Amino acid sequence: MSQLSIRPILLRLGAALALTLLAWGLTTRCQLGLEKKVPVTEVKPRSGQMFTAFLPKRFAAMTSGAVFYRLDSASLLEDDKPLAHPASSNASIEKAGEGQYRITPIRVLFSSSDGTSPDRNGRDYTIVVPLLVAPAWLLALVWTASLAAWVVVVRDLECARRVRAFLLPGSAARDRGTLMESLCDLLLPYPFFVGVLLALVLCTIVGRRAAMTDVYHDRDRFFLKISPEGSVYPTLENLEAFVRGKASPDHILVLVAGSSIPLGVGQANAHLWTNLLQQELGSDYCVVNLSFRAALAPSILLPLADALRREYSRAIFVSDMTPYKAPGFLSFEKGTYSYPYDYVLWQAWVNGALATNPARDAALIDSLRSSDIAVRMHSQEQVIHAVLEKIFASSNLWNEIGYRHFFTVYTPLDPDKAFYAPRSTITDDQPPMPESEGAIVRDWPHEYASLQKLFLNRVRPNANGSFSPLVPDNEFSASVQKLAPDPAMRARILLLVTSRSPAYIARLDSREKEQFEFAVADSARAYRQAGFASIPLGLDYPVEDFSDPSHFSDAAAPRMAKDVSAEIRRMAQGEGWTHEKP
Amino acid sequence: MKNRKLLPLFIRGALSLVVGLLCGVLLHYLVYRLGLPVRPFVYVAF
Repeated sequence: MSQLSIRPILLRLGAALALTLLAWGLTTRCQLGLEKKVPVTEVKPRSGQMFTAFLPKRFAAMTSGAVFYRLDSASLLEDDKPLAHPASSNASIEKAGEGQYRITPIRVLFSSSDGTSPDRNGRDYTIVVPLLVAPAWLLALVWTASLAAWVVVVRDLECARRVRAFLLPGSAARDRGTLMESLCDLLLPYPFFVGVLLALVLCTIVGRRAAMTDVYHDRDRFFLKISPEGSVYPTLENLEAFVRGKASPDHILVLVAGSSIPLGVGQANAHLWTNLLQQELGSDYCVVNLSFRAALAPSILLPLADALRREYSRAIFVSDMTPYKAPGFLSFEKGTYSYPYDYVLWQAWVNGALATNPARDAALIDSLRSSDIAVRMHSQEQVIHAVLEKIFASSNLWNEIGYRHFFTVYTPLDPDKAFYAPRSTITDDQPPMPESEGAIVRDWPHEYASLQKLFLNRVRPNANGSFSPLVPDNEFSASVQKLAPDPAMRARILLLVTSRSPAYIARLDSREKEQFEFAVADSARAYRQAGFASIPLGLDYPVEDFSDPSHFSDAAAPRMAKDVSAEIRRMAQGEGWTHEKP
Repeated sequence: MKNRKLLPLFIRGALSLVVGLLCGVLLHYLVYRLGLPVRPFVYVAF
C-alpha cells in the first residue's frame, strides 16, 4: 500500500461529491428547489371541462430562448399536488377532464382533478417551471465526469485493489495500480476497436435497410405522435418510403404536403379528408398525405416533388398557402417556436435529390454564410446532421426502432402510455374540437389580429369600392415562381388558399368581410397567374365545417374532397393523363 | 506486468469485442440523438 497524503484524497472526494451533487441536481432539479412558480389567476371556462387562463408575459420569455428552460417540463399543480396528465389534447381536456392540462407559452388549458370548476372550487393552481433543465448530452457529460471523479477517488484505495484482484487474478500482489490500468489490462485494444467499427457498420447497414422500408405503413398521416411535436423527425427516406408504400408508379400520385389544415387537424382519422379525396378520385389516383403541423411547401412538398419526380411521372402536388405570400426556402426563426422542418430540405440538398433551382441554391448557400450567427449555426448544423445521416443512416434506424420496438426520447405526450412505448401502439385519435361561443368571444382579439395580418392587410381598398392586392401581380408572380422555376412543375402544383371559420368572419364589419373574401378568392387567382393551379377553399362552408378558427372539421371532409378532386381531375386532364370530364 | 496472471486471452478478446460493440451502438445512437433539436417543437393553434 502506498503512502497517501490525506489532503489530495479529501480534495478528490470533495470534487467527486460536488460533481455528483451537480449531476443529481440537474437530473432532479425540482427537488433542489430550482424551479419557478407561476400562479394561475383569472381562470375562465372555455368549453366542457376545459378552463383556461392567460399567463404573464414573463412566462413566455421564461420558456423560450435560453437553452435550459423547457416548456415541456413545466407542470401544473392543484393545491401543490401535480395534476396527473400533462400535454393532453384540447378535446381530451374538454371531454374527459380528470386533471388533464396543456401549457403553452401564453396560456394554460386545464381541467380540475375531480370535475369541479377551477374558477369556483377555491383551489390554488400554480405552474411550476423547472429551471436548469439540462439537455441529455449535458446530463451524460456531467454524470460521466462524476463517475470519472469517483474512479480517481477510489483508484488508490483498497477497494480498487480488490476490484483488480477480482478482475485480474494475481495482480493484487502489485503494490500499486489504478482502476483504469486494470481496465486497460482487461480489454484488448484491437478487438475493442474492431467491435466499435463492426457495430457502426452493422447499425448503418440496418439503418439503410430501414430507410428503404415503409416504417409508417399503417398510418394515413403523420399525426402528432409521429411528427416533430412528438420528437419524431421522419427522414427524407422515411417520407419517400411512405409514398412508395402507398402509390405505385402507375398511379397518378396526389401528394398532399402542407400545414395542419391539409393534415386534417380537427378531423378524426376515420373522417380524414384525404381518405375521402381518394374515394372521390378513384383507383387511378393515389392520395398520400405528407402534411405536418405548420409545415411550409418549400420544406417538405418541394423537396419531395423533386426527389420523386423521376419515379412518378404523373404526379400532382397539393399544399396550402396564405394569400399573396410566397414562403421563404428556409424558415428557421429565432423565437419561441423554432420551425422544425428545414431538415428535410437539407437532407434532400445533401443527397443531391433537388432539381435545379438557382434561387433555392443561393438561399441555402447564403444561410450557411449568414451574418446572423443563429441562422448560420443552425444551417451548418443541419448540413452536418444531413451528412452524418447520409453516412450512418442513424435517424432511419432509430426512427424504426422507436416506431416498432421502443421509443428512446422522453416525450410525455400520452398519459396512458409509457414514453418508451413503441409509437406503433399509439392511436391516431384526434377527435373533433367544437368551439363554444365563449371561446370565440374570448379569442376574438387574437383572431382579429391574425385575420388582419394574413388577409385584410394584404389587400387595399380602391376609390371605386373594389379591392386590389397590396403587392402588384408581377412582383408577386416573380417571388412565388422562385419556388418552382420550371413552368411544367408549377402546373402540377395545386395551392389551396383556405378560408377561416364563419363564426369569426361574421364578427368582421361588412367592408372587412368583403375585403377578406376578396383576399381569399383573388389570391388564388394571383397564384394561378403565376402558373400554379390554385383554388380558394372553404369560403362557402358553414360554421360546423370548422373545428376552430382555421381548421376544418369532420363535417367539412366530404366537401373538401369534392372541391379539391374537381380541380385535381381538371389538372390531370390538362396534363393529358386522363380523358375523363372534371 | 510480465509476471501477472491475467484472464485467458480468448476471454479478454471476446470481452473487448462485446464492449466495443456496445460502444459502437452507443455511438450510432448518439449520432441520432445529437441530430434532434435541443428545444422541442411545440405547435399550438390559437
